[in-house]
Amino acid sequence: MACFERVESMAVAEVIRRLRRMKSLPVVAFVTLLLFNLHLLSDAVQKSAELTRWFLPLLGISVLGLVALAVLLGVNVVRLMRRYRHDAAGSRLTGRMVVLFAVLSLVPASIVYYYSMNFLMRGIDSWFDVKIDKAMENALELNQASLGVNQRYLMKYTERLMLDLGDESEAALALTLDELRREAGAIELTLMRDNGKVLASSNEDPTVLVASRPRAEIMQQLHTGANYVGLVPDEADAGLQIRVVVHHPRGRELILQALYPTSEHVSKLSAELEEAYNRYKELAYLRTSLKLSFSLALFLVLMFSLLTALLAAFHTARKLVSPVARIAAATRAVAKGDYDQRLPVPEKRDELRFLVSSFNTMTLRLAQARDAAARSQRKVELQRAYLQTVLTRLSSGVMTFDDDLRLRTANPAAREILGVGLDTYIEHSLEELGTISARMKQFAEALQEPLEDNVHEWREEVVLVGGDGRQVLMCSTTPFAQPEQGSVGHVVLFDDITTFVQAQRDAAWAEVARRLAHEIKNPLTPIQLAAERLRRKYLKRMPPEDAGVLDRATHTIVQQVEAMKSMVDAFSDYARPPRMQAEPLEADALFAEVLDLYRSAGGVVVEADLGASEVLIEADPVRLRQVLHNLMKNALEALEGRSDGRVRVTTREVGEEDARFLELRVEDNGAGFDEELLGRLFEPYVTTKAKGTGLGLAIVKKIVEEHGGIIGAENGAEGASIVLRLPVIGEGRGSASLTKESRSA
Amino acid sequence: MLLLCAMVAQAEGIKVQDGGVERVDGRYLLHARLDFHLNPDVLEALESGVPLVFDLHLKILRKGVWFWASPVWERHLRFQIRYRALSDIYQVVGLDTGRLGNYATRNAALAALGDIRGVELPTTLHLSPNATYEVALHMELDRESLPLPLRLIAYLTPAWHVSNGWSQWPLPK
Repeated sequence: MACFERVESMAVAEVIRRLRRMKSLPVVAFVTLLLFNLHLLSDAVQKSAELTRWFLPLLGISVLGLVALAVLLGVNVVRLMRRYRHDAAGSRLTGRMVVLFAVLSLVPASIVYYYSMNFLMRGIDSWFDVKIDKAMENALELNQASLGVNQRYLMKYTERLMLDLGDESEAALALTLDELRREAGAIELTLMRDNGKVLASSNEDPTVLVASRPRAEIMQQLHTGANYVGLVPDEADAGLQIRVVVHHPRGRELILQALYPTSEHVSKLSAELEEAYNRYKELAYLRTSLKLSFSLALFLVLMFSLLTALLAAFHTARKLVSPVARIAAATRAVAKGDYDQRLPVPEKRDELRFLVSSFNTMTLRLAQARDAAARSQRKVELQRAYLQTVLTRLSSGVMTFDDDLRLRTANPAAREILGVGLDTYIEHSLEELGTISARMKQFAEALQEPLEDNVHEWREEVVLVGGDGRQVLMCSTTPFAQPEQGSVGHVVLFDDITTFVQAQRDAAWAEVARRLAHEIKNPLTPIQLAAERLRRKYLKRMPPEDAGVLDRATHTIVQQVEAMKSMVDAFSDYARPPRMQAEPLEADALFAEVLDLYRSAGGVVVEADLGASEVLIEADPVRLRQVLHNLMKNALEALEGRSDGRVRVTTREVGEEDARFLELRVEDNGAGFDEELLGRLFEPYVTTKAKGTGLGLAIVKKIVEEHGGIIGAENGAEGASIVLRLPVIGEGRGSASLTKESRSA
Repeated sequence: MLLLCAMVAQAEGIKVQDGGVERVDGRYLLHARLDFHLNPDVLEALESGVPLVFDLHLKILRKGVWFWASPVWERHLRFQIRYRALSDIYQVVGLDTGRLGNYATRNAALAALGDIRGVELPTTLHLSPNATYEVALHMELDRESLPLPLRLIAYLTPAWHVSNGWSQWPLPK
C-alpha cells in the first residue's frame, strides 16, 4: 500500500515538474508568433502581392505584440523590484544577472541598430543622388524639347492648313478637310466655330464619327488669342498624339484642331522615359516615407530582439538562480531552527545538483541531531522534574550555593524551616541572606565558615533565636563539583530538630523521675515509719542519755526522709510535661509583685530597675513568677553570710525590629559561678551549694525555653549574673514602672 | 492657432456642391458635383507622380432604417487621377470603365473627377411601393491603393483622410 502511495506521489511530482517546464511554453509560442508576424511584415514591405494589403494589420499586431512583451517585461521588473525590496532570496543575484544580460544585449543591438540606420538612410539617399535627379530632369526636358520642335512645326503647318481652307462652304470644307488631312498625315482634322461648334471633321478611321473636341481649358486658352499645341496620350493610352488647335490667321471665327501621330519608336521611347521619370519622381517623393517605414521596421525588430533578450534574461536568470535562491531561503529557515527543509534535486548532473544534495544531507543530519538533543533534553528535564519533586517532598531543608556563596536553589522545606521566602533571594550572597532577619543572620554566620573553608562533610547543631522563639537546626554542608562552571558548589542540608530535642530531653527526665519515684521515694516511707516506731517503742524505755541519742537519730532520719521526699517531688515537677497557660502580660508588673515580697522581708538589698513596662510578652504568669522566685532564691543563697549582699534586677527591651526581646537580668555581688560549671550550669543536679536540689536553674531554663526564650549565665565584675530573654509580642499600657531599692532577709 | 488649424482642416477635403437623382425614360440617373480641396501634402504626392485613387461608394437605402443596416443596393466606382510629366497633363481614369480623360491643369482634372454625371442606378430592384428610398454617396481617397511606404503616413496623418462623409438624396418614385 505504502509502495503504491509512493509511486502515486512520484507520478504527481513528475506531472508538476512537466507543468512547470511548460509554464514558459505560452511565452515561447507568443514570441514565435510575433517573430513570424515580423517576417510577414518584412514580406509585406517587400511588396508581396498578397501581404501588401495586410501591411497595416500586421504592423498593428506587431506593435501590440511588442507592447504585450513590454508589459510582460514590466511585470517581471516590478516583481523583481518587489522581491529585491523585501530582500527575497536570490533577488539580488537575479537583478545582477538581468542587468548583465540587458547590457550584453542592449549594447550590441544598439550598435547594430545605429549603423544599420545610418547605412539604410545613406543608401536610400544615394539612390536619389543629385546627379541622377538632374539627369532625369534633363532627359525629360530633352524629350520635351525634341517633341517641342516637332510640335512648333506642326502648329505652323496647321496654321497654313487653316489658310488653305479659304472661304468655302461647309459641304466643300468637309471634302477639303479630308484632302488636307491626307496631305498633312494627320489622324484627325476638325474645323469648329469659336464657340466650339464642329463645322467639319475628318478622321483617318472612317468608323470614328464623333470628332475629338478640345477641352474647355484649351478653348479658354484660344479665347485669350493663343494657339494650343500639346502632347497627349491617344484614346487607348497606347501612344502619343500631338494635338494642335489654332485660330484662323485672318480673323475668321474658325478654329482648326489637328491630331498628329508620333512615330511608334518615339512614342515607345517617350512612354518608357515618362514611365521611368514618373517612377523616379514617385520614389524620390516616397523617400521620407520609405525611411520612416524602414526605420519603423528596424525599430520593431530591434525592440523585439531587446524585449525577447530581456525576457530570456529574466527566464535564464530565474532558472539559474532558483536553486541558489531555494538554498538561500532554506538556509535562512535552517538558521531559524527549521531543520525539516528538503530541496528538490535538479535533474542535471552539475555542481548545483551536488550542492542541493549536500544541503539535503546536512539538514537531514541536523534534524537527526536536533531530535537526539530534544530527546536528551526531555530526559534531563524529566530527571530534573523528578529531583525537583523529591526536593519538594523532602522535609529537610536543602539549599545550594555556588562558589561565590550565592544562593542557587532552595527547596520549599528550607523556606518553611527558615520562615523566609527564599525564591526572591536566588543569586543573593550568603552575606545578603544574613540581612533578611536576625535568625537568618545567625544561620548565615553558622554556615559562613564551613562554606568558605570548603569543609568536607561539616555537620553541626545550630540554634537560632528569633522573635518566635528558639529553633534548633541540624545542619550539614557538602561541597560538590559544578562541571559547567568549572567551580565548586555547596549543598546545605538542615532539619528542624527543636521538637525532637525537647521531646528527647523530656523523655529522659521523665524516665529519671519515674525511676526516682520507684527506686527512691518508695523505700522512704517504710524508713520513716520504722524510725518513728523505734522512737515510740524504745524512747520511753531507754535511759535518758540513750533516749536523747535515739530521739536525735530518729528525728534526723524522719527529717532527712522528708527532705528526700520533697527533693523527689521537686524533680517530678521538673520532669512533668509542661502545662502552660500562656497569656499576654506585662512582665514588669509581675516582676514588681514578686520583688515586693523579697523587699518586704528585709536583709539583702534588692534593687529593681524595671525599664520594660510597656512591653507585652506571652507567658504563663505562675511559671514566670516561679522563674523570678528561683533566680532570687539562687541569688540570696549565694549571698548568705554577707552583710553587704545586694541583688540587682533589671528589665529592658532589646533586639531589632523583627526580633524584640524582654531582657531580665538578675545580678548579685556574691562569689560568682564556678568557671568549671558555667557550661553545665542549667543542667539538673549541678550546684555548688551544700543545700538545694540543684534543679532551680534547670527549671528556670526549662520554663524559659518553654516560653521560646533563651537563658545564659556569666560572671560579672561584682558577682554572678543570669540573663534571660523572652520574645516580645507587643506594647502594653505601661502600668508598672519601678526603680526601687529595698533590703531582703 | 487651434482655431486656424480647425478652419484649414474644415476647408480641406471633398464637398458635395449639389446632386440628385432623376428619372429619365424609366432609368434612374445620379448627378452630383463634388469639389476637391486637397491638402498640400496630397497635392505634392500627386505632382510627384503618385497616382491617387478615389473610391465612390453608392448605396440605395430604405429611409427610416439604421444607416448601417444592409443597403438595398450598393456599388463602388474607382477613379484614378495622375500627373504625366512628359506631356504635362493630368489624367483621370475610370478604373471600372476604362474611360480616360486628359486635362491640361490639375484643377480641370479635379473638376472632372468631381463631375459625376449620369451614373445609372439599377431599375430591377424589388422596391416596396409604400417605402421611401434614398441614394447615398460617399467619395473617399483610397489609402490602401497608395504606394506602401506612403500608406503608413496616410493612415497616421489626418491630411490623407480625404472624404466627404455621406450625402443622401431621395430616390424618386
